[in-house]
Amino acid sequence: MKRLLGVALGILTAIGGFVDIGDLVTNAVVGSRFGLSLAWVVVIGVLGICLFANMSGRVAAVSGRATFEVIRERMGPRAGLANLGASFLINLMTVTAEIGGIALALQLASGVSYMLWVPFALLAVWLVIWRVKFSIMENVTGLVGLSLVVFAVALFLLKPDWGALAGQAFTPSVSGEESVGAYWYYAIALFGAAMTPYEVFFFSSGAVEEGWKVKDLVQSRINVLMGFPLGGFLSIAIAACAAVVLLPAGISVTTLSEVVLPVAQAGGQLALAVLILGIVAATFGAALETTLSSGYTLAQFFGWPWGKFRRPAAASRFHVAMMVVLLAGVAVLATGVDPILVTEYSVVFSAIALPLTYLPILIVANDPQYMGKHVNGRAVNVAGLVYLVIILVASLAAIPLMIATGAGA
Amino acid sequence: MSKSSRSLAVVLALLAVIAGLVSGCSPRPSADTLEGPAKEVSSAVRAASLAVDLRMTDSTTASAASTAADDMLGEVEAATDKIHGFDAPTQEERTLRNDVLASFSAISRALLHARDVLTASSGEPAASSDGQARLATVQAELRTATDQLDSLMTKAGIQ
Repeated sequence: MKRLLGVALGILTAIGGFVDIGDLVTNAVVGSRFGLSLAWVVVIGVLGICLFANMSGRVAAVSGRATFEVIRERMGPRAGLANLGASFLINLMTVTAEIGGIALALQLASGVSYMLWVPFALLAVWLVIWRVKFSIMENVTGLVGLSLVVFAVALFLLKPDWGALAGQAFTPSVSGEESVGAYWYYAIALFGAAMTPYEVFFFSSGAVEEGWKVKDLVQSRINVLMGFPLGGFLSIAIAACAAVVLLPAGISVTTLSEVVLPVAQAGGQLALAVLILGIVAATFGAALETTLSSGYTLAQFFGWPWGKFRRPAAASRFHVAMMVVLLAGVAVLATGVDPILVTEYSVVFSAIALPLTYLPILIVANDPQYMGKHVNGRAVNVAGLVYLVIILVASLAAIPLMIATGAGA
Repeated sequence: MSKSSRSLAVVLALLAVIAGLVSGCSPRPSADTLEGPAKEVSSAVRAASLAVDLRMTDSTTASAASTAADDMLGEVEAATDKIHGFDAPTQEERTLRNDVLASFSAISRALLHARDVLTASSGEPAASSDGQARLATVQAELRTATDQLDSLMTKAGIQ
């Protein structure tokens, strides 16, 4: 019974923890401009993150070490540094976007400018990282983040033309209002949002934090294979809500206050309150994960003691690194830069950095020295290679498309 | 200087020249160049209008609706700044630019009014007759401004 509850909790937190500010904004933007014609990208992205998160969790459970630590050792400091540089910069952008997301959600709840909420968000994130146990932190934010299911409820309440939505999803096309370049630019952004690098580093370091062993692999696999696809379904619900309400009204999403309009229309103030709670939880959870990921990657590269399972005094450089990352994120926001813009760029830059994150994982997961008999099977390797090709194409196309389309304008 | 450093210097110099050329050329008002800012403003005013509608039916809170109006005001300001940067050497282009700016200005005023009314509505139920009347007034202003922009876009050949 206890094991069953553990599995259920894992799945629920995986769903609640899947959506972050990048998924929220990108799916709403895409839904308001392209309807559901990019839903196929979410499906590909979710399958990819399942594949690599599973691989990464297996590396951690079998070797007892986090993926990044193994990459640094297996591939040497130069390859490790390239991986660290890319991942760390993306993490920093994502931390900035998530803290901005918390502040924007609190502005929606209170009407008080988000800039005044930023210091509180910083303090809250830091306090939780400093004081709260890893499992409590992950489970609470994941479970409260489940409030975002209100998007799916709102979609039903809006009574859409399901046939038209299915038509958009299954026979994708670019409307005359939009350019083909913008369509592909947002396809890459959605892919980057679904496969953000921090997720796999957090996942594998979290496995070490929670002391996973080989016997825990089944549970982790269930969490990933059920939780992430359901999280992907939530992403599609966000896009669908925007497609049903905002697209016909001629509204292209550029702010978080527009993302919530369809839910308010469908479910009124109660639904709006649940949604804002969900956005705060999702962005707060993601801010914790990205901040921790920054600390994990730095500490694992330089060989510092790391982890929340250690007292902060025993992992002082790990904690100082996270404080610096949080302060850097807040400093960026203090310049007045639009957090939604940071979010949009962070998901595209994530896509650019993907090969540096996922190729080393595939290499390490095939190394019998670390993995013993738990190396990747043939089917997983074929799928991994197919994904590496997709990742490489997305990565190479991202910057030219960004320039050609004026960042999807 | 090594060969690779020289190549890097040449690439950087070329990029600097291209950046200088690009930033030095201001666009001129035309259906193509005005399309982006006009669509941004059109989307913004429609979003604010939806927020006011939702507030009138008590489906959203004053905070969320006033935040939407405030955000949309920011969008219109950004679009206005873009148009101000346009170079309009001919009389025809100046007229087009000024018409668009006048339309954006009317929308800004309507949005400012909407934001103020939505913020003030936080202390009272939106269903009260006074509240409804004020919201209906700003809704009418937003719709008039939207119609003006739509007809200007049609006149300028912006789809």
